[in-house]
Amino acid sequence: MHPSPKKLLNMENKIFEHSIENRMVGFKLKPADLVWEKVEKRIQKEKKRRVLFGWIFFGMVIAAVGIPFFNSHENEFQPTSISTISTPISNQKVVESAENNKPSSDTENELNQLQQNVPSVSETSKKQIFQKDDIDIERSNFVSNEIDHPVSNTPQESSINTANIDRKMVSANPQGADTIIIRECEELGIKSSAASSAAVNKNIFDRQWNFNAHYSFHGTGDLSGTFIEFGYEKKLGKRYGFFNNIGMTIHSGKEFFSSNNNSSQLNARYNSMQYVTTGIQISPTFYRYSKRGDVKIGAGMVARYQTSSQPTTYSISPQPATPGIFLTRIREMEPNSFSLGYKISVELHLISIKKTDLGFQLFFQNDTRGDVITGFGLSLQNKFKKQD
Amino acid sequence: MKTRSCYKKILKSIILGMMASVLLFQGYAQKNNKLRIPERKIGLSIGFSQHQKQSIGGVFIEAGQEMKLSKKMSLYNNFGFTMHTGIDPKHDMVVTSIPSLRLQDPSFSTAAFRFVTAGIQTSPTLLLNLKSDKIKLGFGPVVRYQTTSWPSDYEFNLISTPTTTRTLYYTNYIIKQIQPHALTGGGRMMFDVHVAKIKRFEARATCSYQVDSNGDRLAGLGIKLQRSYVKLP
Repeated sequence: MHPSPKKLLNMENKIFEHSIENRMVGFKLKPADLVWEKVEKRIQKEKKRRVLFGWIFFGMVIAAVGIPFFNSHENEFQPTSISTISTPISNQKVVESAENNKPSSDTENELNQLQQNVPSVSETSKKQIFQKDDIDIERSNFVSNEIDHPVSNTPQESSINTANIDRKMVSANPQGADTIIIRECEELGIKSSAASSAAVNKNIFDRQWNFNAHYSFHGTGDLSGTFIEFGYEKKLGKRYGFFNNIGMTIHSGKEFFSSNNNSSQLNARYNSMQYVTTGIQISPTFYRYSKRGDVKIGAGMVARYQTSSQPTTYSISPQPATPGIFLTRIREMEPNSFSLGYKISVELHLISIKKTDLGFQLFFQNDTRGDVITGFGLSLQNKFKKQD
Repeated sequence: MKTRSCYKKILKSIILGMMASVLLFQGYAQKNNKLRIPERKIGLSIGFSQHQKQSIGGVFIEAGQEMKLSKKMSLYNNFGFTMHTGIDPKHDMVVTSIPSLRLQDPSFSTAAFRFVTAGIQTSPTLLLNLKSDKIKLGFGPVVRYQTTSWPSDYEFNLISTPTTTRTLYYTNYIIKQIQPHALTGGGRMMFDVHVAKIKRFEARATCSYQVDSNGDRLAGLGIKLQRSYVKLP
């Protein structure tokens, strides 16, 4: 048995590799001093660049973490805090103590003094203040940021007479970091409202796979069948979505002069002429969601290929010899067609289980061939977030 | 009758095979009780299809999800649509065989009966991954709803009526038997070959053959586009 040429070639390659490896053991290359200096400078430059990039990156991280944190604190105190009507407590010492994270005795004393000095706000003046719709948010934020600190919070709450203070809630929609806070609350067992959780889900899952199955009618109801569609929907902002899909329609009907009346019965045999019209279509659709997100209205284009067994010109006459049997004369046919059109749909959200939604959908479509297709059915949606 | 019993036997063996492989997989999963995040693929198949019983051609479209059960096995759940269309061959044979037809009767107009068969189906298929997923071999049951305008028994007639001046011709069809709607069960065999892969997207050539209790035999050849993803727990 001789080894094959392929094996021989492999063996030769291995021997060559071994010999090179043996020769290279202990081999060292000393660069010239001039070369080394240049190489060193380049390494230093690269190091500097790396450091610069590092700082930029660090800055971006800080900004990314800090801005939402700052915003979240702003939002937390958007409900008008106590200090908007009380005298501004933007005392330098309070700020300093806050910075040091330690309550100073001076601060406490001062706060006590303030409590005594704060003139009790009369009911009428309070009303005057709160009747104004435009609350000075900048000012309230400025003060609230100072109070926000854990050190300054407790003494103020205990020292300031809260009986003289009215609290006014300002509605704030959860945005950005707020959604995380709501999530955390949910994890901790604090129940948020259904609307807020829906808002969270909307922000998290911006894409979905849709599967629609409809009972459908072709024309003026003479052909009935199914319309099945699957596609991919991408959310565009809070209230809009774009749905790319591929759909199939199957419609069938029987000859009107038929002797059988139950031709729709499954696995049964008849002797009447049947018509089947089937089509494949795509309909990129724009959706607009209602404020609560439970109703969506869609409108879009349709490009449709259709094939049909229904003749355009034909005649039917009974066969005199055998009653119940008809003679069909087909004169013209237009079996295949490609048409463009539009589609309008309305969907009502029914239930959602985890990431899956179920809705009831109605649609109407019309194309250049003059075909009108209508239908109603269910829409199954599976939400997800795009993985990077 | 013989063919029907043959189909039943094939169907029986496919279902038994499926059950055995599922049981085997369950045993395997119990032995390897580790946390696994199975690789999933979502895809669309499109291609040509031949309805062999009715001798008509068409297309198939299938959307499906593939989930890896083990290194060698995966489950392919899908939902498909088939569309076949053809004309009555007798019509053209008869009409073209008499070239003087239109000369004798200029008003003669006729068109062949067109058959359209459309179906929707689902076939959970167990795929056997061979040659490190380059080749996949699959077996599975099929549940199919089909509607057709193809009559299983019909008659085509060319009738001539001589008049004093000329002979008039016309054609007609007599439908004797048709099964317009059918809900059937069957089995499907699938063969997949890797063609190309770019990042998460993969293109595969696919061919399939299926038989069902209605006696329909469908062969398909097409391309499958898949995108792999991981479903995080």
